[in-house]
Amino acid sequence: MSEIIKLENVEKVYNLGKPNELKVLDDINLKVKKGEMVTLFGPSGSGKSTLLHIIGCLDRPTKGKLYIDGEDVSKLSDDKLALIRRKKIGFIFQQFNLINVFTTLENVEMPMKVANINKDKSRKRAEELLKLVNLSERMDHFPSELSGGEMQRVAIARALANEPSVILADEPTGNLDSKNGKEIFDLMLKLNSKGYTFVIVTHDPNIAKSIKRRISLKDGKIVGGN
Amino acid sequence: MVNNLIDLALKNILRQKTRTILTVVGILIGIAAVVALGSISEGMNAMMNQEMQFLGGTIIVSSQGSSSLMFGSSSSQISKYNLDDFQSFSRVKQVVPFVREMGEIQIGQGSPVMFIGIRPEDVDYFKSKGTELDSGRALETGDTYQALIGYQYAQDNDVGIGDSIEVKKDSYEVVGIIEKTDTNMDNSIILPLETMMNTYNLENYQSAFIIPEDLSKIQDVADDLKSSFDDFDFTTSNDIVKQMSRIIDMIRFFTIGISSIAAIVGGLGVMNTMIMSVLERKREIGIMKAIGATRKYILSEILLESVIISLIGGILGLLIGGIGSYSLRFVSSGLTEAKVTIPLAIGGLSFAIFLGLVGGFYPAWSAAKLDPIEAIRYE
Repeated sequence: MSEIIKLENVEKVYNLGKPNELKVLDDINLKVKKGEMVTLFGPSGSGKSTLLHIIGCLDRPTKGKLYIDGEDVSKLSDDKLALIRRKKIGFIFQQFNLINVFTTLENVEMPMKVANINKDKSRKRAEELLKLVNLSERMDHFPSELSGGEMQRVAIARALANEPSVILADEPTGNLDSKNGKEIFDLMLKLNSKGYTFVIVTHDPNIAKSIKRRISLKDGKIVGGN
Repeated sequence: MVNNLIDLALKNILRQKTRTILTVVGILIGIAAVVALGSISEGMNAMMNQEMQFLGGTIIVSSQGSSSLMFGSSSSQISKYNLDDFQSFSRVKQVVPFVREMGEIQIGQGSPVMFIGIRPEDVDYFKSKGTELDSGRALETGDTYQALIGYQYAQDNDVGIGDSIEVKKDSYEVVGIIEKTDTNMDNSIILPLETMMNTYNLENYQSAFIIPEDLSKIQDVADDLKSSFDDFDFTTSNDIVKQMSRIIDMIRFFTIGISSIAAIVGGLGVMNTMIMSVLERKREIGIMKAIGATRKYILSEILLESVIISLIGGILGLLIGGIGSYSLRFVSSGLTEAKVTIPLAIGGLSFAIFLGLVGGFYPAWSAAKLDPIEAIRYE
């Protein structure tokens, strides 16, 4: 299977060259193949969120290389990175991060709007995705009218909008009760079985242990499960 | 992409309706002021052009000290002997003397009536300046108590050919009506010079037009006249154009300047609104960036919002400024030509768009360069 993500000796240093210099990632080497589900596991401050941001092209490594679908993206400009995020990456956040003034349907359409996909096509696809996450009847609702679990399902539908190569989830169940958390995780498992690739940051042991491939981080280093 | 952006921009604009409306009003006031005040100077310009068409190629003579701009003011005195001197002066083709008297101001009737006395034999001169008759006949040599009346005066007072009008103690017969000119001529009454001077007990002419033989030498002739007749001012139509242009330019400078300040304040309102809006939406902008919006996308979207706001303000301002300018016609008879010209309208709208772009640029730029990670964490 082809590698979707490849990190080579990635280092991330904040405030480089200043007295408060802080190394948050050190010599990270990681490969994620198409169709895999990987969890980044570790205590807070271990660098797992920073690593996820780098993989998600929201941030750049200070040193080392990051390849997405074989393309070296470690030195790309902000706008080029935005294009990579648009085409290849889907995000799921702990805080859901839906746009409150838009309906469920409009939130799911948003990545397609940004990608300049025509209106009819993006509407149709958004409807299909909401059906996939079992929210067809909630299309015209606003996020404030949804439960946490529902909001996260909308966020998952949004993450799938542009057929990304990988879906990155940052504590996706962190703001949910255990029942809703399990539902969301089950949905991600179902999508994974359909071929979607996932990288999930979590410190929920129940989720971590249900994922076959676990990468443990501590103090910015991979300490197990590579 | 443009459709998507406009959709999104409109949605965002409508989120804070009150704030949007207030911002629009800010621009509206500025642009309305630009348009209304601008139309005044345009109107003055148009009036001047009409007057100048009439005065073109003449030297206006008035006695020294009387205002040269207000040619023919009643303080100016030219005797019959002076007139002969002018007429016999070298390179002078024709001298056309006249007197003017203001009639009683008729409240509610627009411009006051102006009585103008000319020699009937000079009628051809006025005809050559484009003054035509609507009906009846022109003054003819030998006419005494005959009169031509302006179109508006005829309409307002329901006077027609064959009717008689009272001027002081004398009665004049209307023989012709001058066609509509949209100038002061519409409210004028033209009488034969000699009889009018009798009616008004005038000894001297107030002013005269001097027409040189060679129009291209008008300035030379005027200069020669000046050096020969110390007691008189000789103003060429070019001088008047220059003087009036200077005044109109000043008026234009002040009106456009002052109204531009109003519009710029409106532009600051747009900037303020957009800064607030970006701050409130910081997290959303972060989300948009995370899902793949480029800097250019965010920049265009927010600029589009501010341009839409200011363009709406501009269009409404144009309408209200136009109404204002139209109303001015009724308030002041001197501004009958105040109008919103196409260049003024285009200028007003372009100014609104410019304000939107300038006011929106800083907030749009600061939004575009937000760090998505930081912006998403923003509460």
